[in-house]
Amino acid sequence: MNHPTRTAMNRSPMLSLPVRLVVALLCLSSAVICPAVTAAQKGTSAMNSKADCGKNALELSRCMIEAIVADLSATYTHVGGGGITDIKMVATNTFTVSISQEERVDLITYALKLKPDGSVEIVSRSEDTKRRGR
Amino acid sequence: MKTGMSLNTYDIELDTDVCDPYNNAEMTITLTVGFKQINPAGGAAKGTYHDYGDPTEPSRKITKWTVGSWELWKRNFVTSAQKFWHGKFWLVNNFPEYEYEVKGVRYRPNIWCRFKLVGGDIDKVVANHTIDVVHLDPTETWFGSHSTLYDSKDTNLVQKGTNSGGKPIMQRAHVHEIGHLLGMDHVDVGKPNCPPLNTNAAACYGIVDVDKVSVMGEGMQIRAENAMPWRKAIRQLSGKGAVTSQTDWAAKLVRHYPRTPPEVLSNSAITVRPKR
Repeated sequence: MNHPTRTAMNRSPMLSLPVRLVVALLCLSSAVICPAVTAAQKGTSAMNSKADCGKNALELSRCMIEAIVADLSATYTHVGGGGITDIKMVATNTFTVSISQEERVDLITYALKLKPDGSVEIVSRSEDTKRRGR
Repeated sequence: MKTGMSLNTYDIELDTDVCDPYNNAEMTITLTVGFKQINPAGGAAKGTYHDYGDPTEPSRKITKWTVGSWELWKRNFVTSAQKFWHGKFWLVNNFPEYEYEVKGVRYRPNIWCRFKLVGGDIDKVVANHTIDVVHLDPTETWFGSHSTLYDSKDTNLVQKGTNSGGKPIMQRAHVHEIGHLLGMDHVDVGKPNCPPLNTNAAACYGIVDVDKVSVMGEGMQIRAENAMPWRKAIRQLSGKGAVTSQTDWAAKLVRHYPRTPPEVLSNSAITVRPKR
């Protein structure tokens, strides 16, 4: 189930044209969503002001969670279910996201790092599933 | 002739009395499900219940079942799930079994696969399976259910996934769950992408569109391999063939009429009503 290690820098753009149009509209109305999604489109890891990410632990975790959520928005296709029900730091700079589905909970674990320029980068992503019921 | 047996998971019955030059033998699987209400604690009108019935998971708002809502839900569940699985497959008979004569002509019937779902309150039926059911508050859009814990919205058509073109893949959860109760696994079980020790992993629901859209994936599409419960049943009752064989009791999604000996000999598939 493990995905090959990859960085946010070498991800291919995955947003379809209609999604990009919606993103463009959102960008016009939201200063918060715009930089994050634009960053994902361009394949960069700069989710927000680079200087912010290394400022303190809270800002670092915020940057990392934003990078994770942007990656999930672009790559996770099982869009039914209950959405994200948990994001937990399981090790330093490593987070596990729980996404509830019928019969199961998908567990997606991200390892990230703070780059010298103050931005964050996804180092690896792996998937697991917690079986529920039957 | 009618023959049958009760299995732990469901009952099976083969009826050859219905056979004539146009009508095949009928194999009916009867699945009896006992439903049990999950209501808010203490007799309250409103309350909460956790996803999967697990206190460590998020809670959802639920309301008390009324007599009317309970009866309506059960009826809708049973009729829609039965309609989905009933009469969809024909098993091609490749053995000299159940043959009969009509006006001097010999016929070999195929097997039409029927499905009967019996659902009732758990204290009123002898059930093969017990299903707990919560009644979701109208403000809730989702609840973490599984094969023995349903919610009142599991009969609704909802988006489960997305295909490679970005289009939604829709499913009614209860027909998928009935598939499990009939003994079916997820569509990609047995393939390298589905971990054998965790067949509920996301990849087991299909990783290519043709699998994702199947009913044992994330969609509503029935495929011939979903006839496996009926193939197992006829194998059990006839003692002939193997379900692992591609040719024994091969499942088809279109009607195959009974065959005469020359038609059997030429391995013809009679899918258009013949003149007899």
